[in-house]
Amino acid sequence: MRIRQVASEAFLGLRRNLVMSLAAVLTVAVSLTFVGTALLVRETAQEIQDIFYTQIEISIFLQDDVTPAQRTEVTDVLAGLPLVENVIYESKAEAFRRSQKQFADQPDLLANITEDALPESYRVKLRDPTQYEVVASAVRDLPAVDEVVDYRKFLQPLFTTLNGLRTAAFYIAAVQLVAATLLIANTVRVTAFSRRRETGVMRLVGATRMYIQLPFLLEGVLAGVLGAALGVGLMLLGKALLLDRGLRPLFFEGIIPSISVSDILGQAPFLLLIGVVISGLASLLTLQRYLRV
Amino acid sequence: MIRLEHVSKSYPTSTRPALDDVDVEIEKGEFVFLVGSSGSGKSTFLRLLLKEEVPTGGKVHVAGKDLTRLSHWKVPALRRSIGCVFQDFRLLPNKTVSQNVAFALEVIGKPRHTVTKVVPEVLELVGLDGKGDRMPDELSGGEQQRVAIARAFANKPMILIADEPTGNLDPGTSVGIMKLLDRINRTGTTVVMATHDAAIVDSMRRRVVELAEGRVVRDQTRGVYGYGA
Repeated sequence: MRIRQVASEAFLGLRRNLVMSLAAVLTVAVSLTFVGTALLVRETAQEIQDIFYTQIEISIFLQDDVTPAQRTEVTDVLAGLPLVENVIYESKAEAFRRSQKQFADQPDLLANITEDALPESYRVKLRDPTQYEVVASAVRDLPAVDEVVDYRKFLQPLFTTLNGLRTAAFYIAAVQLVAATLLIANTVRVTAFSRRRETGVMRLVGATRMYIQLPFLLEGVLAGVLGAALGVGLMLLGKALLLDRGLRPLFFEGIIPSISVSDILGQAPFLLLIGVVISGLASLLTLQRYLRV
Repeated sequence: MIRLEHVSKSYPTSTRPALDDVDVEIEKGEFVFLVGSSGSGKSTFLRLLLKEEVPTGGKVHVAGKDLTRLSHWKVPALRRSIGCVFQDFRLLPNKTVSQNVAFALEVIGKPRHTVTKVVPEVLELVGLDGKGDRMPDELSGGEQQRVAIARAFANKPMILIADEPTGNLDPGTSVGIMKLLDRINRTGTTVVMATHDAAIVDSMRRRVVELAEGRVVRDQTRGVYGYGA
């Protein structure tokens, strides 16, 4: 079989119904962009979670009038927990000094803070941040303890939002993939129809099924590959235009891990695979139905 | 070469079977006319030989193969041993005469040097030497049918099937086509030709199989188109 001839047939097929092919390629591109974005969001959300969890501490705030015995009780309980990595004690005076520094640019706020207003507290770092509840329940009911605060709960809305974005991206991707599949199927069908004289003669003189169908199959798969490549291009463009401009300050602060070009290119093989598989399947099923062999 | 044993064929869209218990044997090198009115089953008969259709009952043997048991992927090999000619020529309008013939050889994977050697030979055989670079629409109907025959014969098939090959041609041109088919038959190729053309059948004096409503009603070794015709 002449590979060059077969390949040029595939290109010729795409060019012959250019509008349809373009629609198919663009739809594949958009859908795969959404798939890729969804995957990146998931990865990034995971990274953000990891970063925050390693930095996060539990704060145990004490009552105002604590006896030394009660304080020792808290220290002893914490020391007895294997989960606890280390404990830092912050006295009222230290809390006051820290607040002076933290709110230096808000003098109105500082004016209302007296040294006695801030509670003394422990900062507890855990070996496994997800085991928060074990530590919290161990100390919560001690007479000295006023409140146990897990900073994770402040981040929960962020993670919920990211999860929502990811799910939405996946749904959009799924709908787009269906559209892409149908468009590819239609492109292949139109080509098969426009070449029915040739395929009719081929069938009659005994050309093999493979020989007859391969150009059409390649045409469909080519649309999928072009779409996937374009999709990766769209993601790079999106990174340059949206992420690099809008979120740059957050990247610099290290609050959000930055998404690099290689992160996106790392998705490329997977997107390409999806493109090839759906376009290949769409083409095969179409040929099965519309091209007699 | 061709043997049909108690072959029946019904289409789901029709109450009457297209073929009904047909028993026909055709030897290698024979020339057989298949006659009968429209809808008598001639086309179905020919389509069964190519395994374009599968019989509802009975067995079809072609070139030593039992087509009812022939697996799907062996059908192309079967069709390579059978050449086909139709009333409407079925040439590719955007290819030249030579390219049309070459196409049939290329798509079954014949090497280029074979194709360039065979195409002029077979064009000469059908009387079209020198017209290889013409486009089909520049040729007369008779010449187009010669191209179609050249294409069907290029791979030297054992069997040539012709479905009303003279149906679109005037009587004078038809005679030329019949002479060509006769010449091909004399090379040892079995020819099965479905036709309505009484004059041709009568003049050739070859075997005639007549179908009516899907049944073989006559099988004569040196027949004419119809009784008293």
